[in-house]
Amino acid sequence: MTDMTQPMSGPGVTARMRKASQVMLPESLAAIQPSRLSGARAFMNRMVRERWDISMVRFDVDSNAEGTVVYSIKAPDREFSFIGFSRPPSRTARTGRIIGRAWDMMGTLNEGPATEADIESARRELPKLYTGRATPNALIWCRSNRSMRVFDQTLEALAAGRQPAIEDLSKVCYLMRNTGLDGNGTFGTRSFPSLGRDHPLGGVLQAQLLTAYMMREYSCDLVEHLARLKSDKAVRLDPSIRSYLGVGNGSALGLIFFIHKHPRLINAWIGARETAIAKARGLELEPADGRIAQLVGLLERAVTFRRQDRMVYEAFTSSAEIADDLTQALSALKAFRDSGRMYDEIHAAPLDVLVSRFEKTASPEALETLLSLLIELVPEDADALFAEIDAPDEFVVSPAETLASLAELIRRDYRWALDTDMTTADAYKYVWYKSETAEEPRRGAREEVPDALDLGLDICGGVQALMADIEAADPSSTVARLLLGHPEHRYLVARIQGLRDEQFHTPRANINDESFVPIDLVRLMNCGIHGIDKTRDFLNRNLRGVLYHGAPTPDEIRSGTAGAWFYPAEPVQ
Amino acid sequence: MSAPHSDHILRVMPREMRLMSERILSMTGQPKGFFLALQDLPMYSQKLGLGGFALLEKRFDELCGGRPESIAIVSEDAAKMRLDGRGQHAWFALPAVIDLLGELVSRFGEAEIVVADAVDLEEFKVAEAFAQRSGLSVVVTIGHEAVLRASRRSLSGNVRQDDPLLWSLLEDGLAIPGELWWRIYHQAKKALAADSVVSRRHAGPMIVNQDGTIIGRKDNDDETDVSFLMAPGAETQTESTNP
Repeated sequence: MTDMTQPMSGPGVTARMRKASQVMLPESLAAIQPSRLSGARAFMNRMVRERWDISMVRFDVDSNAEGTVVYSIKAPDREFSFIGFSRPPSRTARTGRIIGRAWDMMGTLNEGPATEADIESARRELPKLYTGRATPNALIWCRSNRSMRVFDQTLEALAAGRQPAIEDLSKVCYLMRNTGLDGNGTFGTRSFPSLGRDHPLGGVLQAQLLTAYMMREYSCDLVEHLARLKSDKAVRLDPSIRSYLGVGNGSALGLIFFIHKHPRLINAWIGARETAIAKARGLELEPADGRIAQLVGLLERAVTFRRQDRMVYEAFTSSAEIADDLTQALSALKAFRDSGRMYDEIHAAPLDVLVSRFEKTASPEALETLLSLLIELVPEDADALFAEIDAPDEFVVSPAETLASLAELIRRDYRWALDTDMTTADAYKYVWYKSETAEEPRRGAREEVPDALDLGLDICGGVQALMADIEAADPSSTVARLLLGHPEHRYLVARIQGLRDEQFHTPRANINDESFVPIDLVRLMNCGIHGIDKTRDFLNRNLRGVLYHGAPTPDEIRSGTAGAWFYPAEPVQ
Repeated sequence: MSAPHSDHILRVMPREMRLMSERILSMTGQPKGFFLALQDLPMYSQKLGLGGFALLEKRFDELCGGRPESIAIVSEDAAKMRLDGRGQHAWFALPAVIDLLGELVSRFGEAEIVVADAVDLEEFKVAEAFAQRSGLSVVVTIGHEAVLRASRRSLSGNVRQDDPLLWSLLEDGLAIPGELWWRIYHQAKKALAADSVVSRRHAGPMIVNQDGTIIGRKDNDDETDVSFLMAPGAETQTESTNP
């Protein structure tokens, strides 16, 4: 975790990479906005580029919403199938939390065309969840629930022969919400590392994100289908509304465990993003360069998106404020386009000047929005960086390293952890644990759950204890000998050694402390890595947001004609 | 909940096996930094036809009293070393033995370690597969002691080549008798915290108080069944309430 101030190596990187000490603070990570490197956007761009063919094979659902649906998804070299089971909504035991037990749809994403055996196995096993077993060709098991109010409003409107009101839709921007995506071995699904990088879904999170897209398509098909069953006058969703609707997503504390368990993935993703940003900042651009006009257009799109945002945020910066900030950046960029001067300077890399000035005045979310948009100016670089993200989870100890060397590494890369005061009353105030009910991740005051095992990764306490034992030992001795007498340090030593010379892997925080805000890291995952828009915050620990907001329809994907689809403007009625 | 099909052979994947091992090992009272590093061992053992998950179940009580830090070097002569296992289980000794083999190999090009007084000596055979990811080729001979001989093995950065046993598990999973697996599953669940009304307040977009009042915004679009969150007892298993 070296704190780099020099440019990263590699062609085209001419501006500074940001420092880990700046990027890896929880509040900084929380501000990261969706970008071309976010999973949903990267995956959608790929589907459009490769013209995937998604089609409905079967939609046997009755007027009570009970039934079976099957979709075919054809990637260039193979076919997948999505099998879903629709259920009438139940109010009993309904909640967006993982502990809920009422789901309006349960489904599976499988490799290969759906067979009757696949369908019957999924019908039998999916409801069992933790005691069910997926077929060997299953990639994901999923569940989703309707947004009851918006779904019903849309159904009523379509059945009456009219389109739903945008002001109703835009309060949540989806018809159904993801309430569970399980894969990578869970319930016997395929292990993702075994798919390999040549597999269409072998990239980071791609199987989950294809499933989420299928949830979006299913929700729109379902509401149209139920409207048709209800009325002869029923109309279909207008294509612009169909694109505008995404799929809802709720996320919470479990993502903190994910971040700590997959530090190489976090490092690779943030590193790719920071590299792409540095490349874009370093672009040498004349005012008439098409990329300046492109960025003007993107900023205008982002401003409109924020101005039209009707979500209510609890602690996050309001969209109105972000729009105001982005308007400032837009003005500066237009001035450059018109005068050749950026903030009265003539500079070979005008976007670097723009960012340097903007970061002094703008809200963190506005700054990160601008940085995300800059990545669109280096699409080939960004896509290549995304394709290189590969992150095995296994760590091994380097046993022959001397303790002097390990100590130097820790002092260099974990100074922040060594300097964190772990003796305060609040340093271990909270415990992270999982409930026996649906294994729900929870965080509570230690005195309220005295018997719970703390599953959180105590980086600060662990590094300090390790350093104390290293300093008490012979510096010429080896790691192997230290761990023989201190096996309690084994996991952390392997992690530290395995992440040597990387800088973006570990958020700089004591997650057990009173002052730690869980939603900061949930937001990193949801906004930055997954690419979820309009993430509403609840109690500083839960998020509700929209995936695939504005995403192309299957027809647009099949024809490869979708352009920039993110930050959709409200359809005009 | 429905009874699992205990009479079937199940295809279980590494993610699940690691999770169950981690949870069971977490209940031994061993430090987290230690048991987290052991989570692959029962899985490798099972794959190799050794004790596997049945052994994890059988030895659980002994593991609870384990003192891995007591394992000691009793003699050392260049690339040869002798360890006193001090009655510890082979799984508790194995990571340290692989480290020491690695250190000796880096210095001498090869290494031999003899381990005496360890429980379930045959489990040291796991090292033949498990040490590959550490860049070691290890041959294990089991008699009244375990003898592990190691040499350097090149690493490619590709799991398929560097850790073929793990790759096989990732590709195909492991066939495990349902009866054994569901016993392991239920034992592992004991590591999770008991559910309670108070505990349920430690997650979610809103907090439901005992009197039914709510802390937090209600516009979470969940249509949450508040009575469900207030119920004193909750199902310890989760499955759909849908038919």
